[in-house]
Amino acid sequence: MKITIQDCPEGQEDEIIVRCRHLDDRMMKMIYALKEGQEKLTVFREGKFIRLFPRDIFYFEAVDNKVFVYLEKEVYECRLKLYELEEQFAQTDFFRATKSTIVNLSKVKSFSPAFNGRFELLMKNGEKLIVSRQYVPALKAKLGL
Amino acid sequence: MKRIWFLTRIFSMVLTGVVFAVALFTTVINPTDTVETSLFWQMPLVSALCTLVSLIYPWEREMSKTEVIARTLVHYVLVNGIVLGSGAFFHWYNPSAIRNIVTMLLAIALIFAVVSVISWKKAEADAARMNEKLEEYQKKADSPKG
Repeated sequence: MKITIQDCPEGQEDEIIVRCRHLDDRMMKMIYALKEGQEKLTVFREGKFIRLFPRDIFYFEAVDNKVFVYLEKEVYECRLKLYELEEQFAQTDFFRATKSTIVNLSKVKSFSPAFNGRFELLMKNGEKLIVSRQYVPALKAKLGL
Repeated sequence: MKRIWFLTRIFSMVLTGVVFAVALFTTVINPTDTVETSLFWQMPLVSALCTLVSLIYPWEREMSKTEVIARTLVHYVLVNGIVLGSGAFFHWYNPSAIRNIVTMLLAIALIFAVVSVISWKKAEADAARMNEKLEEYQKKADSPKG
């Protein structure tokens, strides 16, 4: 495989273009690695620090000035504030669902209506979360509605 | 702006309900040959007051299920109070006749139910579209070209 690295003019976004005749397994793995090669997030539980891939996170929740990170089954704590996480994960699958939660859209199974303009999220692990009325327009925009 | 749009939507639904209720009253329940022209101002005024009451639901914060139920009950009671009070003030009905009051209460219940059902159906349609888009979004995200 030929690898070409070109100079990128200042002010332009870095770009990776894959030119191939067939997307074989090796190529697919490489593309997935590029796509998922985001920075890991440091979280902790019972004094132990762990580095997580953001793609494994279901949602963040702020409770009493602490931010908790929910995975499929485990819960960790995170040092970052919710607004910092919101900034860090802007332009990714994460979206603000309520004042205290940021949810990974790729972990949402379905939406259903809740009372008063809100929506209920059924997560892929069976948990149910709420999207506040004020965050519904942003969510719809993220979905392309 | 979102709140104004929300109130406008509620107002249009309430006003539509009120127009139908007045039509039902003046043609079927208590047939009258003429109606006062001031009625055309009274209807939107009462609808606007009923719409403003929907602001009792907090916009900026979450509500527990109990709070939602409690606020809905308060909302319903306030709407009844506004319509009965305005109706008596504008002489839409005779407040000393029980039958008239019961009819008014039934009309309010009907409009409240219709507005609630329309809002719910709209939310269901929104949720269905969001689920479709979610499926597309996740397929796109899963595909290497996404």
